[in-house]
Amino acid sequence: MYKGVVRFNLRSSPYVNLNCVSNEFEVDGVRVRCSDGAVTIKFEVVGESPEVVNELGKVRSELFVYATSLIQGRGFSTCNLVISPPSKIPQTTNEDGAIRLSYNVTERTSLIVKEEKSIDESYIRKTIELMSKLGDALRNPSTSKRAEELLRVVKWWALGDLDTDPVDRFLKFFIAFEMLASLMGYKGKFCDS
Amino acid sequence: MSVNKIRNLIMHEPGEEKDRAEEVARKHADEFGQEVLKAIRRIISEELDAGMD
Repeated sequence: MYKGVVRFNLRSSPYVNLNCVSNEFEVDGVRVRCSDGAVTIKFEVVGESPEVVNELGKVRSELFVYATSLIQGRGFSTCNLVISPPSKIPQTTNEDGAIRLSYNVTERTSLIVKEEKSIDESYIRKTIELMSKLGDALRNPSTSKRAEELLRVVKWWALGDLDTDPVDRFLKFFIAFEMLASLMGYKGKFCDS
Repeated sequence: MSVNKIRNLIMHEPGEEKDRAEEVARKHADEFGQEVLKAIRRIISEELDAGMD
C-alpha cells in the first residue's frame, strides 16, 4: 500500500473572512491550520498504487470543498493543491517532487468583507461527515452517476459564489440552476416561471 | 422577469435590454444564488441521504 499527504488552502470569496477558533487542530485525521487568514487543510490518503493515491487525493480534496460549500452556504475551492509523492514508507510532507495540480494564488484584496465564517472542530466534523456520505454515494453503483451530476451542480454554484463580478456570478448560478432543473426533469418547463 | 429571460438577454441581446438585464442580475445575483443553494441542499439531502443540518 502507498500513502500520500494531500495539502491545499481553502479558497473562499474575497467577501468572506475565515475565522479560526484555534491556530491548529485535527478532526478524524484532517489537520486544519490557520495562519494569517489562510486556512490549510491536510490529510493522508492510502491506495494500492501511486496513481490511485494521486486520484484519491484529488477526489477527496474536491469532496472536501464541495461539502464545505454546502455546509457553510458559501463557495469554496481548493487552492495550491499538493499531493506529496506517494511512498511505501510513512513520511512527513516533503515538497521535493510534489505533484502540483493547481497553481491558484489567492489574491489579497481590499474588498469590504460582507460575511464572517468560523472554522472550528464542529464545522470540520460536519464537513467530514458530509464528505463521507458524498463519497459513499459516488462509490455506490446505484447512486454514483446521480452523485457525480449533483456535485457538478455544486461545483458551478461554488464557482458562482467565488466570482466577484455579480453578472458573472448570476450566470454561473444560472448554469447550476439549469443543470439542477434538467436533473430534476424540468428541462424546458421552468423558463417562464 | 424570469431568470431564464435575464440570462438570455445578457447572452444574446445587445443594447438597452441587455443593460437592463445586467442591472437586474447585479441586483439579484446573491438572492438567486441562495435560492439555488437551498434547492441543491434539499435535493442532495433527499437523493443521497446526506443531510447538512
